[in-house]
Amino acid sequence: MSERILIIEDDRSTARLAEYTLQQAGYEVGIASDGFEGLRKALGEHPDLIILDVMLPGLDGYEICHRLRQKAETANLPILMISAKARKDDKDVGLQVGADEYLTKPVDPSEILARVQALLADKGRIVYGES
Amino acid sequence: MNVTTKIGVLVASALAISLLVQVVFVFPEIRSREFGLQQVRIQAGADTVASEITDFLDDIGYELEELARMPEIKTMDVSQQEKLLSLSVHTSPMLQTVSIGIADINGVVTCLESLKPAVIFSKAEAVGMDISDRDYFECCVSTGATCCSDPFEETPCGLMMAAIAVPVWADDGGVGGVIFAEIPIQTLAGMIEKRHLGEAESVYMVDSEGFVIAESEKDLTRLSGGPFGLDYSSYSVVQGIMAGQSSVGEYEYDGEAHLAAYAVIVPSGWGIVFQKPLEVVMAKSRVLPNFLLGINAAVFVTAVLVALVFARRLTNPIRKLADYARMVERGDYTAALDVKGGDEIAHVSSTIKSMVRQMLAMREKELAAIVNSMKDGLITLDQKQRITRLNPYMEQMLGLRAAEVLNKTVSELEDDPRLAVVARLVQTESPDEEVVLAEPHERVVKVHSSKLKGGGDKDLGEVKVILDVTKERELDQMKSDFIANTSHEVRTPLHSIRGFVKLMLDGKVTDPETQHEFLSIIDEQSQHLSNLVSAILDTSAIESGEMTYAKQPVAMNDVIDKALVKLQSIAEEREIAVEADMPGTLPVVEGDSEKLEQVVTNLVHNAIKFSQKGGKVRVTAEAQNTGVLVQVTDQGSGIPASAIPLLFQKFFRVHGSMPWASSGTGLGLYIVKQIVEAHGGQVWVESKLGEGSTFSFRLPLSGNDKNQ
Repeated sequence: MSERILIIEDDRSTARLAEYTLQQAGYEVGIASDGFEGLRKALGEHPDLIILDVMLPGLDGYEICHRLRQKAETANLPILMISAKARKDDKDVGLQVGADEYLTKPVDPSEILARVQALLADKGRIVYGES
Repeated sequence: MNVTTKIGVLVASALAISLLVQVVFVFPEIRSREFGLQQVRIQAGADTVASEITDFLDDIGYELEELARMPEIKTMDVSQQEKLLSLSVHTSPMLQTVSIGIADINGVVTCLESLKPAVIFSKAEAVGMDISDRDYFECCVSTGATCCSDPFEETPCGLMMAAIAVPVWADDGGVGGVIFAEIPIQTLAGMIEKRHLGEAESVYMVDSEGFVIAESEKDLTRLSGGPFGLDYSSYSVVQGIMAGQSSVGEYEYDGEAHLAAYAVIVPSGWGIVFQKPLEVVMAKSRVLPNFLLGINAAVFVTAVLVALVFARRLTNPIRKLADYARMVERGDYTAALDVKGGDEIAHVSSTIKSMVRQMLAMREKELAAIVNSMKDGLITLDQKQRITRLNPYMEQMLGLRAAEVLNKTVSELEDDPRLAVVARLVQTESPDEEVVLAEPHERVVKVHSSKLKGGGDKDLGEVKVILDVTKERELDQMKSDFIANTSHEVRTPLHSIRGFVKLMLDGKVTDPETQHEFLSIIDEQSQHLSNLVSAILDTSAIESGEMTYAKQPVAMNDVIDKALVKLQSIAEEREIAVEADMPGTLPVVEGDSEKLEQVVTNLVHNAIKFSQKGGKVRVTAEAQNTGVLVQVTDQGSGIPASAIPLLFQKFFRVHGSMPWASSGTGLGLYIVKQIVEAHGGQVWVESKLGEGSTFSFRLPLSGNDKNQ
């Protein structure tokens, strides 16, 4: 069973780019296009990793991340933030609310894939104790 | 030299001149008059004594002459003579102190009578005595006149005597004998010795040879050796007497300069010297000048003192005036000037005071005009850190009245929570400190502090100029927000473009359908990027005021038609029906048709983006009294009421339930508002969540503008 990744991203083309890249790599990809939908799916669909935008309709990415970290079942869920917000402050906030990675657009598809694989590998180590 | 000293010196020099004149001209005159008076007094003394003795001798001579004419004497009958002489001595007062004798032509004394035998030798001793060799006898016989002798020592008694002899004429016309009187010198000396003399005055009598007969201070008759031992003939005054003169002269007597008057006793050729030490005379003559000098000195001192006191009273107000002027010069305009009285100085004082007052009032008026017109805040403090001024702009900035803080100290202000902000402003120390004001509006102000210096670097307090830099700070914030936002806006399409380009370059996308999809996205994102750049440039132009409008008469029908044509393909792609509803002709508006087309395009494009697939967008235009109204209505999700006030701001985007349509620049509506307002129009929106929104704008008629 392939790992499932949830993309919470309101920009259609950005979401599509990640979706295609990850699908090509064999992941199962879900998309949520606003904050509320994203939070609901993150809690309900038990994804293995979340790619999270910051500027979102409804709840923003920081809020979602913060709430996910509050819940036990998602406290250790790998979260990769990808945002156009490029200021250092923005990145600091992202890491403070619990994101594992904070990438600033533009990001190459290969890098997104690499980060996702790395985060999933880390998660595997923690869960299964594998190297 | 101050005025008081000057007046003192003036009075002193006037008095000094007066004194000098007195000393040089008046005093010598007074002295010489005094000296003259002294001379006269001495002269009178000498004359009086001389004439007394002359009278005495003359009287005796006269008595003798009377007797000589008596027949009893002429007969030269001794008994007859004795009787008469005895009678005379007892009856004539003049003859009571002398001895009277008669000698015959041979100089033999025939008889002699005296009242005081104790004084004169006895009759027995005298009779038969030969006096033929005595000078008075010889003189009398040879000249036939009354003769007087110099003093001589009478042999029998050893007393000093002087004698007067008168001839007794015989019937034949020749001298038959001599009747003579011998006078004791003591009698004459008594006339001198008993004189009441003035201070230091002395008098003496000399005989015709210059020998002293009597002297007021010494009993010469009792001197051993007799008076002949004292020869004064070397004295100039005595020589004058010996020459038969009466006069006044100065000479040295007893080693001391004397002023002396001398007078001749005519019958005997003797003389009287009445003298006084020159020193004493001079001293006497100096008494009055010295007295006057003393009075002058007293007057001098008194006058100068009075002048000084008076001058002080005179200059006191002037000094006060000068002090006042100095205070004003130093900037202390509140100095007191208290000059009373009705004189010119009081008048000048009150004039100066009112001049300063007026000057101050004028200065204050001018200053107030400047300060009140300032578009920056201003607070001034005095040297005790009390608020002295707070201008209207500052009142406005702080939302309080100047009267509430005037004359209050910093600590007083700190106690009042409403006024504490003023204390904070005035306590700034660095020259350009920034303070954030919370009330009544949040403001950032910059406080410039500078010290106020008066004359002589006197501390007059401090001036605080408070610049409202809120706008600048906001602008700074806006600028950095703008940059962050634009970079953010650019990154998103760039991310997609790059990402899809990479995917395709990798050659892994082989499916033609997918390739087409990706290329369409790239195209769409490029278009978006391009729109974004245009919108950013427009915004930048609007904000810097560089946006230009080529205004000309515009028909809004054409503008709307053109915009709709351009948007046709997008509308079709989204399956949105765009309807236009407008009259065939609309009133002409004045405007830039390209910019107005952009307004319509932005509004309609937004309407399409926020509509559901298959939805409807309606564009209407109508003429109104004052302009043309254009409205764009969609059936989208609507806009939350909270977002409406922010809708026309830069980079504001509503994140609604239409995620796929939300990719925008955030600048569209901002640009719409700016363009409409640049045309003198208004833009607004009405919206209901779930039902849709209507964006409206109204442009004024060009004709209206011109006709009205």
